[in-house]
Amino acid sequence: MVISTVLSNLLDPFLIFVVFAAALYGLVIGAIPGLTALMASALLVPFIIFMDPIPAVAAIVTASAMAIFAGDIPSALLRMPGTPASAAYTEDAYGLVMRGKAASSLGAGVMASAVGGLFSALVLSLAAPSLASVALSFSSVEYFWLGLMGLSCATLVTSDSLVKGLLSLFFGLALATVGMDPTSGIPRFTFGSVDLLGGFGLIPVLIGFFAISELMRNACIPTETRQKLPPVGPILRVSLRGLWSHRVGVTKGSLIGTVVGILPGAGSDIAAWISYAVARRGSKRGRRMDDDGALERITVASAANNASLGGAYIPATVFGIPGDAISAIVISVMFIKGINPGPTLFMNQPATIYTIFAIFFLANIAMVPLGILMVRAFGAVLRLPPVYITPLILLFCIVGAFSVENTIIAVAMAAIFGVLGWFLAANGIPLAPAILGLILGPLIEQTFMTTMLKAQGDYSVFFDRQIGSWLAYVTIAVWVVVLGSRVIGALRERRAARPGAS
Amino acid sequence: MFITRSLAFGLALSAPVAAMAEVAWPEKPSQLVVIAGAGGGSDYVLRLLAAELEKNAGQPLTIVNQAQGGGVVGMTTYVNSAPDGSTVGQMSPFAQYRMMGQADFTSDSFTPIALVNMDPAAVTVAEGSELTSIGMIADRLKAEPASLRISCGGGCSASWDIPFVSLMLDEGVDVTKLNLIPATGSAAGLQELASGGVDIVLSSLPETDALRDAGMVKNVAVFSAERLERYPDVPTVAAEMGKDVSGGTWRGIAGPAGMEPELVARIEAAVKVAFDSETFQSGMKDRGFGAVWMDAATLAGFMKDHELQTERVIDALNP
Repeated sequence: MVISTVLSNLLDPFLIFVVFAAALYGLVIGAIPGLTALMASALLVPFIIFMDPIPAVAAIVTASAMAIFAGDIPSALLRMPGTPASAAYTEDAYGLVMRGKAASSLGAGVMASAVGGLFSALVLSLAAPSLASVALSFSSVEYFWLGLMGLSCATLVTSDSLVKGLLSLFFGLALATVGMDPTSGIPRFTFGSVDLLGGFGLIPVLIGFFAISELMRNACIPTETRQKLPPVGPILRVSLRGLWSHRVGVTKGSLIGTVVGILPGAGSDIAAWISYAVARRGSKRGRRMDDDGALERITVASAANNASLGGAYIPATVFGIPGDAISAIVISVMFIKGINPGPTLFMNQPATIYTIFAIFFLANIAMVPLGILMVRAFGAVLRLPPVYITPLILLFCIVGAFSVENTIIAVAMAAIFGVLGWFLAANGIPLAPAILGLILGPLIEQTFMTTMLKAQGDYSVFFDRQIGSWLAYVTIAVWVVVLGSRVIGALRERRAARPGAS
Repeated sequence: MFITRSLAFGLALSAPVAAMAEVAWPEKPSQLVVIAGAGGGSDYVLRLLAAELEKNAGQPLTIVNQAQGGGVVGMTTYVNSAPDGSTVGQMSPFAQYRMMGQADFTSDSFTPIALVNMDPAAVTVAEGSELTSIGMIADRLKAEPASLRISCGGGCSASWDIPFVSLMLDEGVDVTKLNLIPATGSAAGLQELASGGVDIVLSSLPETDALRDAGMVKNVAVFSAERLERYPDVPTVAAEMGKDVSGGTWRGIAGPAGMEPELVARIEAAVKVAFDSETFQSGMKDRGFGAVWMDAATLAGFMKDHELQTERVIDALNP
């Protein structure tokens, strides 16, 4: 019954057109350095707001998957990661291209991306419904710990500097307190302004932080004379052979990516960095500094960053908690379209949610031919002068910010946060924890207050419930392990430095 | 001669125009501010209405969604616009904004035009709960006001809890001790109910459809004068308690203060035609929304009552 509805949904010609158009769009955006999969998703919002629910979500799913892969293209050919998720293995990919192995470098990227994506789509389809029934037993206690875990992972694992990560996180949390108190509705930090009553909208801040600040950063870099690209040979056969020879790496990357994606707050860049670190340190093959070692690392990390996308939709569809910023956008689009994420989604609209899952499979299969085509067409896109591209993107940013909030103040917010984001990034302060603070801050505050109201101020309730207490212990364990290893590392450095100083 | 002829000509022309004008609003491109996000219940009801108005008048009526600040931003937008009928907005419960210090709207800030929808509040408990009637809940709260965790399904000063607290006030419950827990919307409240986090959820009936159909929750009572056609099994508070306490959320159209009575009458007539249309009526029925009509004068009185009821409840809760 559900399966036949899903299949007939998929055969809708308009849906196929949307998926195809979104795929091309995602590939182009992802291939332009500085334009992220996140931005590709954010800029889609004003266009898909007028579509039916399924094509609307399908457009974001497809575009983000394509953009994550396409980030590998400039990363390999120009040493400029198209998206932050490709940054981990830029050196390896570029090195291979310079040694005349462009086909195997990019081929490994496209194949591993597709397999990673398919793997996570499979996990999503099989595990999400059973997780949905578990999720119905989640009360505010569990959500509180889940939110806190997301914040902790994002900050403690991602940034090189713990202090800078925490700085960014607390900045985001502070932003989240502006507007009406989520529990009582009392205005906070609004200074009597009606515009601040709703707090800082997520999309204007996102557009400011990630798109406008990136445009400003790029505008500051003088245009260098471009190197001639080495020729790219036939890709398909080389990459299929490479995929089989690196099958262990692909599996490893897919697993890591899916798990990291499921954790609320950790997205594709984190998945790529973690799996790259695992490949580099955890296996003999990945440690080697020759071509094969580089290919192994590229394979693992490419599989992981695409697998994380599917993983992120598990908390997004089941709990309504974003696994990363892209799924945060998807959640808001789903709410707008009346597909309310949450456990009841699987009871109310099984056909809709499974059609969305099916789009994951479609998008990842379509990635192979379209991705190879894109690699070929890439030269032309990269040669477009920034003089034409930058103003066009800025225009998209303004439209994007306005269309979500319908107020001109949203455009001003995007501009202000653009300058702020540029300033923070220039000083090495990561922006992702601030965004996650803005997203998860209200959730954590609301669930904390609700829990306290229910328990009449008794803190032990946070450890009383079965699932809740497990989540609590895991969260605390993450703190202990990460902070502990940082402290031990710092002590060791000091001890090592002492004999040298004396 | 010339004057009379042109006058007669003018009159002949203006007669059909005047007749048409009775239903033709908007006569120029206008906007309707919805104080909730695109895709929600308010958006659905008002888009349905706007589509009919647009079709009948042949002029675009653009929906502008401004959900920020729980609706304060949207109301502020249309209250501050020119009272010429080119910008009107959604009229829904507003008295709580002033009492929470969020805005300073009173019923005098608006020109009421018409009401098109009303959904009564309902009391829902988890399946298997020992509380099976509103009478039992009232008795329990009379004895121990803080013993039940009550989720408001929205801020605890809004549509759903006001009638409930009113009833408990009438029953002599010490409402200052009630354990009212705000939730971000009814879906979050119902999730808490299913997971055992709260004992009672106050929301509209259609919002409980999914979990009730899944056999996880049960509707105990609805705050309306008569049973709802769509939910014949849910008893009314009036029948159970013998007190005519009703309330819930409602949606209508209003403009900024100071609109001409002639203009209001014209918009009201156009809205009535759209309200009576087959498309609107069946669209409301499909989603379980109650299509209820009030003209401008009735709505004005209703808004005053709403202010008084909200004031009474909020004052009682925060002595």
